Formats: sequence, structure tokens, C-alpha cells
Amino acid sequence: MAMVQVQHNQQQQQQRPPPSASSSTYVAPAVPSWLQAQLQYLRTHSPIPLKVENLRSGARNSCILDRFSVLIPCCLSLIKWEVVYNGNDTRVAPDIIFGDGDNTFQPLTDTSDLSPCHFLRDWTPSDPTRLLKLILVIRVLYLQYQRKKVEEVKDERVRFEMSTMGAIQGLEMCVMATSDGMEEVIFSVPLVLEVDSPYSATTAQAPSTLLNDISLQVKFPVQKGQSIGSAPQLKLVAPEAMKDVFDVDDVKLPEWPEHMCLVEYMPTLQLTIQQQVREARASIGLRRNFMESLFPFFGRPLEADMLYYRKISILTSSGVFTFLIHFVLPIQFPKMQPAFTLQSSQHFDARGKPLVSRPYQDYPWSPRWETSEMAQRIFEFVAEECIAFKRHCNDSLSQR
Amino acid sequence: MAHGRPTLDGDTELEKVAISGAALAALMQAVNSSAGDCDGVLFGHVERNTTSTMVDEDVGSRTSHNSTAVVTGHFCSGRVTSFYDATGHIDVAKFAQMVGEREARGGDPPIGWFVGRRGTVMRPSMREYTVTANLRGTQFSAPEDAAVGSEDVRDGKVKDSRTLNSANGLLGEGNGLSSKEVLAGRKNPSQEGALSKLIGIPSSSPCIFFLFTESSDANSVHTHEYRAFQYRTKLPGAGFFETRAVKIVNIGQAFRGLYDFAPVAPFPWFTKSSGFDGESSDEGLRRLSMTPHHADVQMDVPQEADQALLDMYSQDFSVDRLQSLIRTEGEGGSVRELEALYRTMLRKLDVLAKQVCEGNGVIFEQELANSKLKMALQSAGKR
Repeated sequence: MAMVQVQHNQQQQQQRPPPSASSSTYVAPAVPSWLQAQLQYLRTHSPIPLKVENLRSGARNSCILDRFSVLIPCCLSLIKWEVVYNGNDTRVAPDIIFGDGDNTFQPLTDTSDLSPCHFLRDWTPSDPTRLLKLILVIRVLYLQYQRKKVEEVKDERVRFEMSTMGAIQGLEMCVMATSDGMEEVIFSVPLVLEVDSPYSATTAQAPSTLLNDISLQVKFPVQKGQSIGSAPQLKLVAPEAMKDVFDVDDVKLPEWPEHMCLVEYMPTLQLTIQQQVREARASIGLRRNFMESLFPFFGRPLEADMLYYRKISILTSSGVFTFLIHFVLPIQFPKMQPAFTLQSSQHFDARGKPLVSRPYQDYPWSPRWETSEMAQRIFEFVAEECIAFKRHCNDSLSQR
Repeated sequence: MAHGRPTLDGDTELEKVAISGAALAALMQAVNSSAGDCDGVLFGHVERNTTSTMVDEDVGSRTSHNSTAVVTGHFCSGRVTSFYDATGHIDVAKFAQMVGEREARGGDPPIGWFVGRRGTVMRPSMREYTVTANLRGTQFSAPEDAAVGSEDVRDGKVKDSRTLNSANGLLGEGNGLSSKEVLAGRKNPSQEGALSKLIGIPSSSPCIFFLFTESSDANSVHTHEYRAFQYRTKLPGAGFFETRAVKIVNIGQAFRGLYDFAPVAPFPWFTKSSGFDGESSDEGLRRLSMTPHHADVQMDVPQEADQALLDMYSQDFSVDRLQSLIRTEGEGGSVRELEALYRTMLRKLDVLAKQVCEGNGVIFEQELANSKLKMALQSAGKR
């Protein structure tokens, strides 16, 4: 849902009328209804996250938005294709311009059952499913084309990996040119994780499949078909939405010794990640307990993240001074202590914004305490600190 | 002359693509004025230059060949998928329609095609690739030509039509065919029909793809961009595009050849070798200048056609005399002969002027008579 929202925003940005001095009778550019329906279908029904951006016009008076870029996930990277419709003649099927290095990828010459020609031949703009089908079928051909390119790489290490990994479900591979004139062979392997641990029961709302979607991206640098011999670049990739629960960037990957190969490396990595994912799931439950322990001291919260328990805001007071406390709970809770800021509800700056304290992260803390003790210690710290904050607020007001 | 030419191959690497400023401007105007995207056919020819480098040592000269594709014209359809479908399949009939008329008028043969699309990257799309591959790969020639060396026939015809009608300075390309073949071919309707079927880009010619774009972005420094590609096939079935430098031919001495300013008179085409081989040139010249009308008797059919062509520009100058004049190029007698030719041309102008005068007089008298009749009619009506 969040992603769809973002895309809508982008589209609205694109729809802003571009400055045009030439035409006296200016017509605001708009997406025609048939294309709107196709894009809507693409956003809601795509099995892979496709992103449409940079909607623009090909008409002389630039009033019909009929071409755009699509970002397509391939080997855990994004490739950009341009889809070109002809707004003046909707019967004409769209055309696609591929990336710079793919000048030999020509899906229209494909004669197999997958050939996109079937879709293009009897194109009807009124069918909203066509665009998505076309893109998906060409993506399959593109992955086949990249696989063939990888098979042509005359590097022994890459060939060995191909022979051992080739049959893995969901494996994608491609050859990309890098900026320094070299090439790299990229493999993307989905990790097989068993996340149905007893801890997961604590979060019924969190989608259970969310933590299952981690993949490993491996880049072997090659030069003219020969490997350099250095260790490959390894990177874990997870959906953006997972960041609230588990950040793959925090994972320290196991070392890649010499003569290591992917088949050997993967089980070790999967075990490591599985352990960390379990901890992350357990952390959700602990964060929830911590939040509940805050209530007896500070009162009921104004706002709380009830999905992953990462944020909570509480309105509280000390004497006549009323203020808000915003807590941010880290993924590594309780190893890392929460950060919080105070926000006055009585003092405002010149522009009418409430005064906010510095973020506090240096108060007494131990991960071994009970959550009630954590809450009590924070309460005591805040009771002292709010006086200093109030003084600071009064000072800054009197200075004006 | 014809034998010394390097063999033509459409896959020869071009050094650059040349286009005159006027042709490019017309092309951009066509792209710019279309409501949406548009495509069309490009016409042109190839200029092959041989550069000899002389060296001091006694090893002889080194020669290098390079080719330049010269785009001389276009036909813009004003829309997309004009001669092909969404999958890049060529519609032969539509393509023939776009190409045929131009060649009949004597223009250059098709050398490629172009697409103008706004707000897109300057890379060929999947459809453009397929269309180009099909243009290159498909043989559109008529079946009867396939039997008897279609390549030669096509080549000859295309070139000859240029020689006769266009002022593009292609006379210098040096094919030894004389224009009488063209005239004969023109008169024959069955061959005319075969000519219109011979469409597509000949395999001897390179295949050019031009891409135009313009962006409506107000921040960009230049809003119109173009890029030329040559479609090449190193391996069968695996073609690819290569970007080629575009040279816009501008005014100036250095560009004369490319700009096709070479003075070309629409005279019959002779080669030095043909003519009266056994006779010495002076003798022939004397004989012809003495008896200009005598030649008419022994003239065969193609010479008659040449004579008819020459008669359009000069009065009483025999075609054989002109041929002798070419053969005696650089000798003393030619000045006198050339002056004689000019005199006959002036005489022709005199005759034409006289005809115009007479014609005007007749028209004037007719108009006078008309107005008299009108007056009479009016007065009759009043009564």
C-alpha cells in the first residue's frame, strides 16, 4: 500500500504542466484514460515490484502523456526500459527501448511460444492487462538472454558456479558492464529461511512472509572473459518494507575464503541470517512489552506503531509544564537503547513550531533489566531533564 | 572505367553519413510538424573515395578506400507504423508506394529510414531494430528479374535514371552504361512495371537509420537531436547498429563535391570510348562540321533519341558532332566547336523567342477578337 501511495505522488509530480512558451492555447497534459487503466492494472497486479516514472508527452502540443520509463527488477538491480505509446494513434501497440548495453536483445525476432509478437499483433488499447503481460513476457525473454550471455563468459569460476547453481529455483543472472570498462557477472539467489519460530507468534499482524524475502546478490568481476581472482562482491537485498523489522545492511556477512564457491557458502549464510531474523522477530515482542511498561509512568500514548513497535509518542506533564515524548526504538532493542526527544506544547519558535530538545540516548540503560525497570529509569531521567528543558525553552523565548 | 570500381557491398563500414544542411532542415521540419511520432524513408547514395598516399621510397603508393553515405532526400509519412506493423513486419505494398514514385522521377534509391520521436532516448527501439533488419534482409525484387542477374539490372537502372534526370552530379560515378538504355527502358511499359517492384534497399547499399528527437524541456540547451546508425550484419541473423558521425555539408569550396554543385547539363551521355573508333578525331570532326545534315540518314534509333534530347537545347547541332567534341577534349579544334555549339544554342533560344513572340501575337489577336465579340454581345443584349 505504501508503495502504491509513493507512485501516485510521483505521478502527480510528473503531471505538473511543464513550462511551455510556444503554445498560446495551453492544454494541461494528461494521461489518457486507456493508458491510466493500463498503468493502474500494472501497479496493482504485478507480481514483481514495477515502478513507472517520468511520464511525458510525445505530441507536438505535449498534451497527451504517452511515454514513460519502467524500472524492472532484474538480478536484484533495477533496469530501466522506456515504453513509447503513440497518443495520437491509440491503435498502435507500444514500443520498448532497452538499456544501453542491451543492443543485441531483440525480443521481436524471437519465434518461440514466448514471443511478444502475439500481444503486439492484435493490440487493443481497451484491454488494461496487455501492458503488464507484455512487460512480463519480455522480462522472461530478457532473463533468458542474460543467462545466455553468462553462459558465453569464458571464465572458469563463473562456469563452475553455473554448473553447480544453474538449477536453483529463482536464480537470476546477468552480465553488466561497469564504469571502468570491466564486466561483472551477477547472480541473485533467494535465501531459503525457516522463520516459523515460536517467537513469531507474538506478532500476528506482521505478514509472516515478510521476513522470507531476502536474497543474496553476488558479483564476480571479469575482464575479457577472465576472472580477476578477487573475492566476489556480496550483498544482501531485502524489500524496503523489511527495514522496520530487520535491516539486511546490519548483517555482517561470513568471510569468503579463497577457493570458496556459492554452493558451499550459501548454507553457512542461511544459518547466520536465520538466527538474526529470529532475534529480530523476538525483538518485536520485547519492544511491545517495553511500550506497555511505559504507560503506568507516562500515561496513555498519543500515537504508537502497532505493527513493529518502532515509534511511540506520549503526552505527559511535570507540574504545569506539559510536553510530548517521542520514542524511537531500534531494531536491535534491547541491545541498543531507545532514543527519545522532548517537545514542548507551551513554547513555540518565531515560525510557530514547537521547541524540541536534543535526542537523548545517553541515559542509564541495561539490556538485562526488566522492561518495567527500563521504563522507571527513563521516567526518573525525564523528570530531572524536563526541568532543564523547560528552562532552555523559557530562555530562548525571552531572548527574542 | 567501370572495371576499376571496388565491389559494392552493403555491409561495408561507412566512414560517416553526410547530409546537406537543406536536406537535414527539411527532414527536421517534417519531424517537427508532425502531431506525434513519425517515420519515413531516406533516399541517398554512397560516395566511395579512394585516397592514394604517395611515399618517397620505391614501394609504390598505398591506397585506402572509404565510403560516405549521402542522404539527399526523404519521404515522411507523418505517423508511425506507416510501412510496417507493430511487430516490425514490412508491408511491401505500402513501402513501394512510399518509394516508387521517387525513383520514377529519377531520385536516389532508398538508403534507409528514419523515426522522429519526442522525449525518448537516442537508441533504436525493439521495433526499429526489427524493421531495419527486415528492410535489409527482405528481397522485394520481381521474380522475372531474379532469373537474370537482378542485381545488375537493378543497379544499372537506378544509376541511369539518376544520370538522366538528377542534378546530383552522379555522372562522375563512372558506370559505362549509356543513356540510350534508359530511354529504351522508359518506353517499354513492361519494364516500367518491373522497375516499380524493385524496391527495398539494394544489397549493394548500406542501410542507414536516422533517429530524431526533440525535448520540450525548457532547461535543455538544445532541443533537437539527431543520430545516425548504420545497420550491419557481421554474422547472419545477428545484426547490430553502429553509430555513425553525421556531417552536415555547409556552403564553401571544400564541400562543393558533397553539395552536388557540379555543373551538369542535361545532354546525352557519351563515353570517350564509343563513337568512330577507326577514324582519327580530326577527320571525323571535319566531316561532321561540313555535313551536319548528312548524318541524319544513317542515324539509328538510340541516336535519334539523343538527337531529340539535344534538339531541345540547340538548333541544328548533330549529336555525332557533340560526341566528336567530347573525344577531342583538350585539343585546339574544340574551342571552335564549342563556340559553334553555343551559337546553335543561342540560335535555339532565338527560335524559341520568335515562337513566343508569334504565339503572343496570336493570343493578342484572339483576345481582341474575343473582346469585340463580347462588345457585340453586350450591345445586342441592351437592344
